[in-house]
Amino acid sequence: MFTEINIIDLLPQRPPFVMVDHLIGYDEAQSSCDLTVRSDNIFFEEGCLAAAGLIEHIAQTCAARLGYYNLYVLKTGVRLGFIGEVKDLEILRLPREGETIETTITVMQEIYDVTLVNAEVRAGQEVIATTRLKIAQGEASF
Amino acid sequence: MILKDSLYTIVSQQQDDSSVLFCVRIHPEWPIYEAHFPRHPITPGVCIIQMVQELLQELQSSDPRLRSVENRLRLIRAKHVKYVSIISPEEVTEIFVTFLKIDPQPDGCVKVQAEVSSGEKLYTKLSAIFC
Repeated sequence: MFTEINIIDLLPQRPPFVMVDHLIGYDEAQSSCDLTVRSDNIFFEEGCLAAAGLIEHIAQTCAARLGYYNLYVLKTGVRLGFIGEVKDLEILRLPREGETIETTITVMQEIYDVTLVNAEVRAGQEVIATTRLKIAQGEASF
Repeated sequence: MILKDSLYTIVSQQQDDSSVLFCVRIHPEWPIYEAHFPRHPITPGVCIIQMVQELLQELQSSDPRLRSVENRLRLIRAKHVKYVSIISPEEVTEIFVTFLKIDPQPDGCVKVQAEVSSGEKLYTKLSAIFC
């Protein structure tokens, strides 16, 4: 099960800058992560996860997918990753304290070290945000 | 505010007819740099978004264009946020955030265009709606 993987093993980021709890789905085209919003998150403000935290959560869902691929498929190491572009972001509402959100990313294009994804964030059945992200991979992180 | 006076401090603020320019000092000793990433400190892209949001909130008390906006402005839509180059705290500690457009809409939201730069170097371009 993906959820048994320690998410930290898949990411170049370290606490307290980790915005995903588990990888809950993985294949080459689509992956998902979840996050429960806690008040000790650095982007927690006025009872909610701020937009910056929500976007980082989506970006780290991409990072977890790439980390899984690098670690378990290519059997190399985790690499640094950067957001190249946030496009067509729409936030319908911010997730609240205690709420668990799930983000699914769908890979639209992958050219060398640049991945374009469509992302959808849900709280239960409710879609709370959508966006497109461009993620670039850098050098090995450790 | 989450990042003001932890990641950055405002050094100065200048206003002309349409644009507002903030000079901001980045703090390389900010503890999050050790987490993003270990041995490779890089300013997280989403922190630029948060900083733009916080600077816009600063302007709510002084900019006449924002006088009619009652709630604290928060990002709800972004046409694009383009990261042209990374901001490494080892290479640059003073950056400029320029609000090129602050355009209140009839529905109470505000259309914003902003750029983050230092000298000739452009780091980030943002076109977004805050509400």
